[in-house]
Amino acid sequence: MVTPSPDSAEPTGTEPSVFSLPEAGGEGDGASVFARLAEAFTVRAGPGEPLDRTLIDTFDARLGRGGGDLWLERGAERSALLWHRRGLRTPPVPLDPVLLDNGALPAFAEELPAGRLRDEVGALAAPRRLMPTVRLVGQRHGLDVLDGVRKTVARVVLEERVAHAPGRRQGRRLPPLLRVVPIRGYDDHRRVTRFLVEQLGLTPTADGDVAAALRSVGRQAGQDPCTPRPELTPEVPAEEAVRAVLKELLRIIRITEDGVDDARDIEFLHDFRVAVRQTRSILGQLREVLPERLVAHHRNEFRWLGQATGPARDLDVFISDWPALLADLGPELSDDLAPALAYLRRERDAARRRVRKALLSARYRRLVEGWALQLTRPVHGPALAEVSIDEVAARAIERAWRRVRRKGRRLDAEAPIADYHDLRIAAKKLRYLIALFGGVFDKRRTKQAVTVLKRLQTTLGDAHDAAQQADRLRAVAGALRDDRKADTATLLAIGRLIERIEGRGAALQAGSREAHEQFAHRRNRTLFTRR
Amino acid sequence: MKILATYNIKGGVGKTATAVNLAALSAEGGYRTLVWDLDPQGAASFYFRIRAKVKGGAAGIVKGRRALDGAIRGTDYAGLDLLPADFRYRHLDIALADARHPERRRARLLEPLADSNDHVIHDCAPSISRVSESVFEAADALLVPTIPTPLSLRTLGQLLKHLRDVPNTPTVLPFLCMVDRRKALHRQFCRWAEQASVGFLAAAIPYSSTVERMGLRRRPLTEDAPRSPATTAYRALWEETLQRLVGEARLGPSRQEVKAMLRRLERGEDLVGEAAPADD
Repeated sequence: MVTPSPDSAEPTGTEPSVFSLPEAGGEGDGASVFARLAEAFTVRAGPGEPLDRTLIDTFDARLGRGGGDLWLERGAERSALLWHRRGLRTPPVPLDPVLLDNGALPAFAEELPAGRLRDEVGALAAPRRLMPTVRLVGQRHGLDVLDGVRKTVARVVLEERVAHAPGRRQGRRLPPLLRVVPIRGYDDHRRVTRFLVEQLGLTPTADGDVAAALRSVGRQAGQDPCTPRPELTPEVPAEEAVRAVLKELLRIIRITEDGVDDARDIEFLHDFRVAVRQTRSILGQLREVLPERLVAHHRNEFRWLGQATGPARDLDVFISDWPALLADLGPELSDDLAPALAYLRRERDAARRRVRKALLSARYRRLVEGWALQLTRPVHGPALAEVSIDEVAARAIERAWRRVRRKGRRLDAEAPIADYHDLRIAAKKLRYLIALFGGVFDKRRTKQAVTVLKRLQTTLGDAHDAAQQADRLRAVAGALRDDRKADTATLLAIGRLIERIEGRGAALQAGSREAHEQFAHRRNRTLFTRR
Repeated sequence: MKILATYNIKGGVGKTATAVNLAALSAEGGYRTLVWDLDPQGAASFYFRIRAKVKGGAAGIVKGRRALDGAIRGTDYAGLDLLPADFRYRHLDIALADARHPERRRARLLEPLADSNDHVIHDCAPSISRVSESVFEAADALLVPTIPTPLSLRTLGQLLKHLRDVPNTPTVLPFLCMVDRRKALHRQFCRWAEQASVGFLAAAIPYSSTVERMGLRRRPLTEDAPRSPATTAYRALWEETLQRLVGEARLGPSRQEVKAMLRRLERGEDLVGEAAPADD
């Protein structure tokens, strides 16, 4: 079996047992530590073996953020997947991986072999693609500490590693790592650790494998690269702060654009669109701190980009919601609706082709390259540009909050769906301001504001989706009927599904009104205003 | 957490080898696995080079969770732990008898293990006792290694008959073990088990010196002889067991099924008795 692999956290979380060592040949290197251990304990040295380990995660680090590390470890004879939930007392468990013909991992958790790994990884990663994050290549030496019957009672592992970004040949050498791995029910790892600290003078390092490896390829452990993280302080001039946020959003647009084409991991397109929408929203809501010529042209271009990618996203969502929409309708109805689903898939494919065309266009290239240039070029902005960001953002948040309150109060049982849509957009704009600039305010208050707003947004979003899906199904029914591609059973089934969705939509609209009442309650006022 | 037990009223039928090898396969498949060595002889503990001693002995185990948790030992294999045997387990019956609701008592001991284990595999001592009763109560499935001989089959019949009176009967998964295909009787038994659909698992473990060598090498077959026919057979047995555990949410045969099974078993004994030809 494969030796238990290291992890980012302490194996049992109880005491330091990871040590950073000098490079081989230096004083106190791995070989000399092993020699000293062999003098002091009964040990069995394993043969040195090549180390080739790749950290697997989703693009937005769902596994890492969920508290787990998934390693694909390639050995000379066999490869293994190692899954470690941090904070658990159990060591990582190796699993026989299912390798595809090209030796790569299955792209999605659902393709992993049945077992705990698939269950846990699937729950965290779905629906996102699994991909290599950083690869560590080097040498590993193991030393088993034995008892009187030659049973392993502790394990010492030395690793010499070079970290590579995926697909990169050039790597970065990491300091050798010595790890004392406890074996359950035996205390001997404590003796070994004590020996290393007291006799050899080693100092435990808090820097585990994952953090160091990710840092070496420019990523931070447990951070979603699609979350904008501008470094803002309350006193930064507004224009500077807004530019920093817009640069972050452009960074997200650029890192997700390659994945937008991915028809199975639909979240790339989602992240891309969120960054585009946030850019548009900021250009609208904080235009007074930016030079006019910077805003006007680009706002228009980002609107174009949003419109070019919108239908594909709507259809992605509809198709991924399809099984839930059909739940409890029975298998017969599901068969009758198959032509509708096939039609939606064809529409989605066409919409995705249009997205691809837009992203390959000269217009898109001009937009992102020109925008990058504009954001770095110093331009003298309007008077408000010099006011501190906390002032400007607080004012914008209050304004956006008032808008949400006003639009929500207009809603009654008779209100058209367009009014709900308006409210949804207003709530989204408020959310963007809080998400992007909330960092300059009190963290607790910001968190509370997000919680209150999120509740409203969820019901509004679901109500909007329901209305859109019902409209789309009507269009699908019309098109299938015109093309004579649907029999009566299919058309009747679509009718039933529309009825069902609309019933749900009506309930969601009522829920949205109720959620708005809670949102607009007096007690929440201070979360969004300075009074 | 799924609870399994290798059990047979008869001794020397391959219970411990089955428990150890299936546990290794379970851990290899990524399931956090615990072997509970309930046999005072401590053979499973011996295979894993773990001292057969539990602090507090039988009374300590019955007392509660702390004693149980602290007694668990890591094996040399990732994801596989062992609760060692203790010679004092021969008193476990008495300790359980002293406790209130002895059957439930042991089942309750297992509850805290659910967070840290996916599979618990009990290696039971032969004979029917208070301990085995408590295993029947807690287990999801009983794996019953059965040597293809009339006497072994008779014992299986006795077990099934006994289980009729046990509340929460576990799924009984008998399988043929120590099959020596040089023997005509064994061959005939295998054919019969296959054809008569008397509830035997399809996987059968061959008689093999590789399995006997486990006592010398003190390692599961997945480590010692990963490509041997015996290992392949255990692998098939494990896969079939997993399918039964996960695929079919059946918690045990009904009384009617047990009755029918017994009738079929009896017919099988007759059949074998009539036709038993000379060995090759």
